[in-house]
Parts: sequence; structure tokens; C-alpha cells
Amino acid sequence: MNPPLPSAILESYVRTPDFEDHAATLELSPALWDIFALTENRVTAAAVARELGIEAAAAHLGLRELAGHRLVRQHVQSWRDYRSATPAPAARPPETAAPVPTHVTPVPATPPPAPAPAVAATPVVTAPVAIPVHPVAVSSAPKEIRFAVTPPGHRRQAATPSGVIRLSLRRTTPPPAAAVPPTGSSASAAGWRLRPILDAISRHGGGTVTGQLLAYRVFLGIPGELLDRAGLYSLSLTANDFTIRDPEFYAALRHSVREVAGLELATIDCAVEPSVPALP
Amino acid sequence: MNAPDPAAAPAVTPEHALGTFVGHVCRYFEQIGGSRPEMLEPVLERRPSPRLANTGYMAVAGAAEGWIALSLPDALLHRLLADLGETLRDRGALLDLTAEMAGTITSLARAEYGEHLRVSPPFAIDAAAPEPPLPVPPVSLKLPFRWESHEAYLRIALLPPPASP
Repeated sequence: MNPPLPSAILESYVRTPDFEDHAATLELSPALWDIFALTENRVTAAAVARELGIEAAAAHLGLRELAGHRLVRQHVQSWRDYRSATPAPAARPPETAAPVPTHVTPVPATPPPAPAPAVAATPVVTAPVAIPVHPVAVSSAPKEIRFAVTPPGHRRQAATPSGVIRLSLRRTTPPPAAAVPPTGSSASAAGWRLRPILDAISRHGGGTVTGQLLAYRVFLGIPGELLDRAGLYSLSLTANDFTIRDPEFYAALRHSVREVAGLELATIDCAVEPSVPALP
Repeated sequence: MNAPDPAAAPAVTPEHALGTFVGHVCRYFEQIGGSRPEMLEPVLERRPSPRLANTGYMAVAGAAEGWIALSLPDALLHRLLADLGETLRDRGALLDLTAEMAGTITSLARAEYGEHLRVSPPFAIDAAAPEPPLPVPPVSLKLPFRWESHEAYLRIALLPPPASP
């Protein structure tokens, strides 16, 4: 097996949300469990190697193996999310903890060494995967991941003019959401019901699927940490009774709705009036 | 050959470009399996739910930038293979069919939108394979559907929009 690219040891890994389900059915070598035990928080192969006193390449292989078992997954985040989660924006993060995904590891052409036969499924994806390795640097400049994936053996593979799509992981600065507090009648609201907003976006999008896709693009414009803070890890677009309580979230949503959908939230009746305490 | 004039090109919104994928998925089932799937409740997911047994990936650029995944259970593919008269049921056959579905869908989308929507050659992986080297957006849209009692889903994963000035 080829040794990992130098930057691969900086890939961050975290446990998958359902790792317990997968772990319950697995038998792995103690060495792999040693690595897994270090993934309670996100870790890099470099950090694992340092902690366990093993080669970084071995740590990287171990993490990849754990990812193959769906116990961990690669942790990547946008520059915006990273900056929002970093208390000292001007501080340069430690090199071994760089969370910016400057490198995406190609899927191996052969399965990783797996102690359990049940996981020795053959990945269909094979080379070529051409990924330029950029220096690990904290920058707001866009970084590009360039890849081409061909599925040899597939019965059909449509040709494409270029064959390669360049996807740019755009690093964006957050919209000035916090600086724009709710105004007008909504300023005194106890919250804002999300359902009427989604319905309005969907209608504006012109139909069921296109409306849902427009709503999705609106949510793409909301900083991830605001979604996390609101507990919106999974949100049904058609059946939810979620009420926005966070003015910053509302301001970000209002901004994104205006930018993406061209709608003004002020025109949507979604405010929740402050409740009056019930008399005893 | 003259270069296309962007000013003269009709506007293609990401919603319509991506919506065409959903339409072509439905038509595929209708033409091959004889009935359209029933679209279920769409869900925005901050943390993507697990892949099903077979997943075909289609990377797109142009009118929409990101990728689309078609995740299918074995039983659904068994049924489609039977409809196609295929006798093989091994993993390779299931992944072949998944990749073929993705290839058909992307070909139709490319024919519809041309240079406005560039689509990379699709590929398929099983549930045990590591995550493919695709950018992970902060939020993705899961579009579940049911076909002949089998549940599957499309995942739309777009790159975040650039910050406005």
C-alpha cells in the first residue's frame, strides 16, 4: 500500500453519530481499539501517533480502517465554521490540529487490511484520483479539490466533456447576522415559527421539489454553528413545528432568505407573540 | 466553434438544474420498474444519515456545484434486476446497476442543460467503503422516496454560497 501523503496525517476524524451500533457488531484488533479510544474528540493521525508512540502512517491507516467500519468519519468544516468555533480569531491554530480540509484522501483501489472478513467488500472506485496537495495554511482564499473518478467495470459510464469537475470549497465570511437585529414588529416577538417561512420559500420556489431545493439553499447560507446551537441537526421541510428562539439565527435566516430567495421575512407572518403568564 | 455567450444563455437556477435529477430518477423507475416512486418527507441534515447498501455519486458543477448521491437498498436493486431480466445478484451486479442508474440520470441531465450543468462520470460504492473524496457541505438535503415498498433516498449536497459583500 502506498504511504499516505504527508498532509493526510493532518486529516481530522471524529466518531460517527451511530458508532455504537457499528461497534457493537465488530471485533477488531486491540491496536485499532487503542486508536478508536482516542477519537472521543476529533483527532488527526499525527496526534494519534504522538499519543500512542506509533508511526503517523500507521495511525493514518488505522483511522482509515476505523472509517471503513463506520466508527469514525473525516471531520471537515468550512473556514466560517472554524473561525466561529475558534475563540481567538487572530491566533494561528496548532499545525497538527488544522481542521481545514486542504486534502481529501482518495478512496483506495484495494480494500484496507481488515481483520474481519465481513468488511472486506471491494470498493468500486479506483484510480485515478488526482488531488493536489496544498500547503496547510489558514487562509480565507478558496481552495480547490480536483478529482476525476472512473468506475471501470461499470456497464455504463456516460462521457463528459471535461471528465473532471473542479469543486471549490469556498471559504466564506459569515454574513453580518449578529449585527442586524430583528426590526419592526418582529423585534418584540418571543420567537419565530419556521414552518410559515419554509412554506413561503417553497411557494416562492415554484413547486414541491424546486421549492424544497430553494429552502435547502437558504439554509446553506446559515452558519453551521447557529444550526447546531438551535439543535437543528435534522429538520423536516414539510412537517416541523420548530420555533426560532435565537435572534442571531433569525437574523441569519432573514439575510439568507433575502440573498438566496429574494424574499423579505418581514412579509411573512411567523412571529410568536410573547406569552402571557396564566393566572393561578 | 464559437464560445457560448453567457449573456445570451437562459438563466438556469440551481433548483431547476437539481430538480431535473429528481425527475429523471422518477422516470427511470417508471420506465424500468413500471411505476414512479413516492417522494417522502424531505429532511435537511446537518449530519448525514448512514448510506444504504449501494450509493451512486454524481458530482455537478455550473448551475449547481456539489454532488448528488442516490442511495439504494439491496432489495430494491434485486427487484430492478429482475425487471431487467438479469440473473446476477452479487455485490458487483448491484453496484453496476447503481452506477448505471446514476449514469443514465446524469446523461439525461447533461442533455437537458448542456454546458450549464457539468456532471462528472458517476461512480458507485457499497456501504462498507470509506466516504468518497467529495466536499462535505454544512447541510445536505435528503430526499427519501419509496418504490414498491422499498425506501431509498437522494442526497443533494451543495457547496455554501459565497459571502455577499
